[in-house]
Amino acid sequence: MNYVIFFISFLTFINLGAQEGLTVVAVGKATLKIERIYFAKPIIIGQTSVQQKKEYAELLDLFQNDFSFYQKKFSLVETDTKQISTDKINYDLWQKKNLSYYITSKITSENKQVYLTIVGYNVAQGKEFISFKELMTPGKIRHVGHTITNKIYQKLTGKKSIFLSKIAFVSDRNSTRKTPIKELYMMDFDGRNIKRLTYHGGTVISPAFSRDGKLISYSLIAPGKHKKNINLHIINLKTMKNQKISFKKGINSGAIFMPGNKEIALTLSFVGNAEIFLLNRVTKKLKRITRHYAHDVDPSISSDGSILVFLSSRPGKAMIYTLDPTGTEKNVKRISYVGQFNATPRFSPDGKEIAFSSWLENRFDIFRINPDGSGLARLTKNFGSNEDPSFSNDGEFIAFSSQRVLSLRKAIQNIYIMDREGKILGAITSNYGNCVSPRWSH
Amino acid sequence: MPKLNYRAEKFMASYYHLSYSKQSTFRPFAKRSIYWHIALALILLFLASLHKIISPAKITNVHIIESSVRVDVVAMPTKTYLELKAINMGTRTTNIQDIIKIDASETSKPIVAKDAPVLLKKNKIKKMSFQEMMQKMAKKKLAKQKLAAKPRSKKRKTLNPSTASKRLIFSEKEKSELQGLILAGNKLSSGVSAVGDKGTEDLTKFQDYVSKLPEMVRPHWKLPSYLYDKGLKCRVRIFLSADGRLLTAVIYSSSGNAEYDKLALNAVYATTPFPQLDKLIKDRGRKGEIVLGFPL
Repeated sequence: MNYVIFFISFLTFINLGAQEGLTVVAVGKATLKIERIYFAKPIIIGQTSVQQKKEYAELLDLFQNDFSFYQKKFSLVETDTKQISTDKINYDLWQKKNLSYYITSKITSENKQVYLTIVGYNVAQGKEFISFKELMTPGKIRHVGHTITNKIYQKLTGKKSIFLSKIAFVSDRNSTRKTPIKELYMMDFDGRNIKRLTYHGGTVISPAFSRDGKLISYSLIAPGKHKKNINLHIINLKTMKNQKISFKKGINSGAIFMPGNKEIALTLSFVGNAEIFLLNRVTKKLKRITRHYAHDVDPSISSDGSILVFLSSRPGKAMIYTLDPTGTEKNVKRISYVGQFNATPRFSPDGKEIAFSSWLENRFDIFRINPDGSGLARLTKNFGSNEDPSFSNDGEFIAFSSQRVLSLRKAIQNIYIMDREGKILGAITSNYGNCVSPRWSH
Repeated sequence: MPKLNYRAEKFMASYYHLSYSKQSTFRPFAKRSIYWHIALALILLFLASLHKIISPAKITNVHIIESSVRVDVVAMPTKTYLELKAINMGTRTTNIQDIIKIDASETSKPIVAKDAPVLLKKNKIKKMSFQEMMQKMAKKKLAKQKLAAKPRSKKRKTLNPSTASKRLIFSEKEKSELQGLILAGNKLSSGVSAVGDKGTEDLTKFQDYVSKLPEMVRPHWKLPSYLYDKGLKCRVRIFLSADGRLLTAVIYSSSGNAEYDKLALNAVYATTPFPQLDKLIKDRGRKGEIVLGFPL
């Protein structure tokens, strides 16, 4: 008994001793400081035509517009257009104005070619942080502008930006009342530079970019009154040639490129009901991934290719499932348990989140969930009917199509962009028919 | 009748026999079993108390589990992420888990920095006798009554600016109490647990004080994008006076990036003054037992 008492007192002594130590308390993750950035008016050296001057003025707007997408990181200081830009900057003046970065641009011409020299200054540190020269290719001013902002953004944050990314979408602007036509289009991330890609005269659905951004896959419901098959096509963005890839009986749709671009995951229904397959682009060999009496559609893959998320009617309602695409029916896991009708699950590029749309309060809204089934959160509310979410290449934004009902018979759909927390930045298409199915390039 | 008697007799006999045999076997067993049960219960109680003494850490862990609320998803969320975020802005998010204890022997840096301000000892207040105390209280009441008796309407227009400012001045103690009150008022409670009977009540005063700090520092803890998401870590040790003034803050473990360290220190300096320290823990504050982790 004595032993026990001694033992207990010894233990309590140790316990008291431990209390004398330091106590570390976690403050937690820092909030991002919004940095003020200033784009000075470009200096033009040499003679320029009116057309060129217009283009250069547009360039400044482009810089500011690009950076305005990253509202959480940067706030823009309005450019004083009357101010005469100089090479030397007054650090003290700008420090007082709490400015972080000051960026100047100079347009010069050498050997009949126009160059743009960008110099960026870190005001707080009082030194130059970036300096480079870019060739102004005529007719590609906007592309040059995005390249410049991309370089600046990468230097400042160390991450890739969305400035060079593209969005593919489907619009019905050429359809008449009798014949609905939906064709594939592509635009820059800011909604400019829209290009028409297909001329089928039919209905294009579910486009998807390849990993390198050189190809787009889409499914086509061919025009005409005969029995319609949904075939899978791939269009090469460089040669603009399109090729029929899969034309088995029934559905050949919902295709996405697997990491490495060699394989395509898609939904095929030639086996009787819709199942997900992997199609090798070179050998055309099929590998079955799902095997179930229920329909399995809409695959989306994480960037490392380890998890495939899809929509299945196994529980009787459309619910989101994940599986390991290396086998058939391998590690199938249901991750959504609520919602009347869930649709279009899409992985974020980092593989940490899945955005999807779900029917709630008589309309579709965008939600997000983690691949393990936790962290269900609503992103849109009171903003029309929102469908088809697609993460941006850097994972910071989500593009989606939103529908506004104008009258009993008329509704308009446009593509909007919001950040990954649900703050809506605005529409990027307008007056371009009903724009649906946005897909961001990787 | 005899037939019946005989039957009854037989029955009774058999009954007695049975009960007798039952008595003879059951009683001693019951007794033994009661003793054993009591003994076992005592042993269990003893072991449980021993367990409590040995592993206080485990018990706190149990409390964390108790105080957390389990949420089953039963329907689609109607509130958006941003709406929920706005609600959660004022809530307390520090877990006891976030408070890590480390041994003082690990520290290689001086406990008090060389350039730390020297602490001034307060003059000891002479303890009052009961009589003196009563007298003082009596005076106080009088003064209050005088104030109350003054007619308000007359005073309103001819308010002396000096007296007006006097009225508004709070003592440092009141200020920090008020600050704490405002903070507490804006918080959501940690919630009543489904299983346990205690939430965070078991926290000692010191832990309670320390767990208040993160939400005060966090608003000032901002990083530019080029330092964000770099996975940098630094710890700042703070020395507090009893009234919550920051005596000094030193880098306890550096992140390796000078600017990051500086921003962390700036966040601490911007937070001052901290809430007032309780009598029981003021020594620990002055000794610099609090280390703030940025972010951990």
